[in-house]
Amino acid sequence: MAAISVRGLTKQFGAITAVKDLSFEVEEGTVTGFLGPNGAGKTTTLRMLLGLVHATAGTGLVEGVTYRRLDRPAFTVGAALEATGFHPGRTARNHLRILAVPNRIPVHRVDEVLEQVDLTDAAGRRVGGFSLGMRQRLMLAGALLGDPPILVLDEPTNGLDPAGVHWLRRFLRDRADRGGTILVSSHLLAELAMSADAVVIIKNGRLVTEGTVADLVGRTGSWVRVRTPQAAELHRALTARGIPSELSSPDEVIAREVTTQQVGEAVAAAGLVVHEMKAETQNLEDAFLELTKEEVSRP
Amino acid sequence: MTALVRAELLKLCWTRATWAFAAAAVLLVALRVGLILAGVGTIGSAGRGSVDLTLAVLGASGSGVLVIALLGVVVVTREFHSATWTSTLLVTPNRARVLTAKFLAAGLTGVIVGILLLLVAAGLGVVFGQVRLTMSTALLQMVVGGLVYAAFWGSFGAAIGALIRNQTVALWCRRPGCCWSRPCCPRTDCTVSSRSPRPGSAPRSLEETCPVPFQHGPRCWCSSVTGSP
Repeated sequence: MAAISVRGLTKQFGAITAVKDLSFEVEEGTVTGFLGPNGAGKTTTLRMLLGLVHATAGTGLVEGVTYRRLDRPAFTVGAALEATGFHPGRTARNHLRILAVPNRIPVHRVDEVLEQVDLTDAAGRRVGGFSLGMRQRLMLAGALLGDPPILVLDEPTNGLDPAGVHWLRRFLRDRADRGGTILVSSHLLAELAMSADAVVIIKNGRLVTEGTVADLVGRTGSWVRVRTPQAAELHRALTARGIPSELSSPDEVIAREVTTQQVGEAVAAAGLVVHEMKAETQNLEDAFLELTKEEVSRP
Repeated sequence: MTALVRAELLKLCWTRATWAFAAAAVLLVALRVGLILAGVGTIGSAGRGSVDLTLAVLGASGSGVLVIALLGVVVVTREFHSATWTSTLLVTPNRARVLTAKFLAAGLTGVIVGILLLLVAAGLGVVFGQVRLTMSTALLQMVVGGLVYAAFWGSFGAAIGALIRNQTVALWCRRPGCCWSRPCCPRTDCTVSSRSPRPGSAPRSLEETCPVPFQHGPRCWCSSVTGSP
């Protein structure tokens, strides 16, 4: 059974359809990136999944039940959503204690999660004086209180410095490796590309694609880049073998839909000099842009 | 439910406004008791040491009821004001339970503040030597009745808070990327203000930045864009 399963979720805000018939699944033990440009409906989808917004149609299930049916949700799903408010006059520790009490989480967990997100030193400070990055960490700490198998994080990297982003990536990866399931939304793909196992891409409230990162990148292309003083000859040799290629510069040839082995054989057969040969695949960011670039015009 | 009520009480304890309200209530009651004591001996007032005076002094604690109701209001509205509803509902997804806990907590707060105010009134009366606390049915009735009254006003305040805030929220959505009135821009990376931006601040109207169509309403401006476009 999928840890998170979204089935036909639709949300209508007046005349605007924020999310339309969206379905996807998040497998246990994976980090799944929930990607889409700004305004694609990521936050609305997560809010529906977490029972904060009524879906116009469809359901979102966590471990087979709707979030609202969970008695002590902190032990099943930890969520950190954007724009969650903090009482500015409360200290970080008190904020977490208030979250811990309704789920009957022992107080010592509060200090443990503060330690985990590296906020121990700021535990007694009022949240009002926290930076955005510290608030993000505090929000994450709140999600970790019940040590839940599933984490749902909305734009958790906003406001984090590069070291913080790196730390978060390692943290999520580590959690997934130990069997945790993480659904993390972002509009910045580079942040996720290195840590996600799978991605769900939406645009204008509709599913664009879902699959593993390798799958997605593989589907949108890979090529072999060859640097050689005899570029024109190589281009001719490849064309003769029926390998699609192009002269990208006077000393460089890009061969598409081939392996380095095939190119190497062609080079040897033609007796050419090669300075460098590199297999390249499109990264997630390119793939994402490729998948979402069409129909930019507004309806 | 006890855990939920406890959480609500903790929220109140860790809000400075609560203590300001409680202090205001104590002052109000002290003032009223002072006035009653000052009037002792004048025509038509209760006599020194009489049961009537005791009841009047203890009854003065009732003037704190407005503050108790306000505390009840705060139990609910504070969540809107500092946008903590999201975390509250994530922790307890069942709305009915959250509201019940809030009503109970507000009532309980009413009782606690009520007891405090009764003690303040009785204390002042005794210290200034004019009130004798002898147990009587009338006294007991006053104390019990007063506390029930306080509990009622606490819960009632919470109910009012829930009603008013729901209406306000319908008119004024505080969600980021959302204007003070419809239309709502589902974009979350920009802060939207209803005021036109200052000259020279390179403004972009929402129409330009909104990736999805939105209904026209009052003029909206994207006052700042955070993150990458």
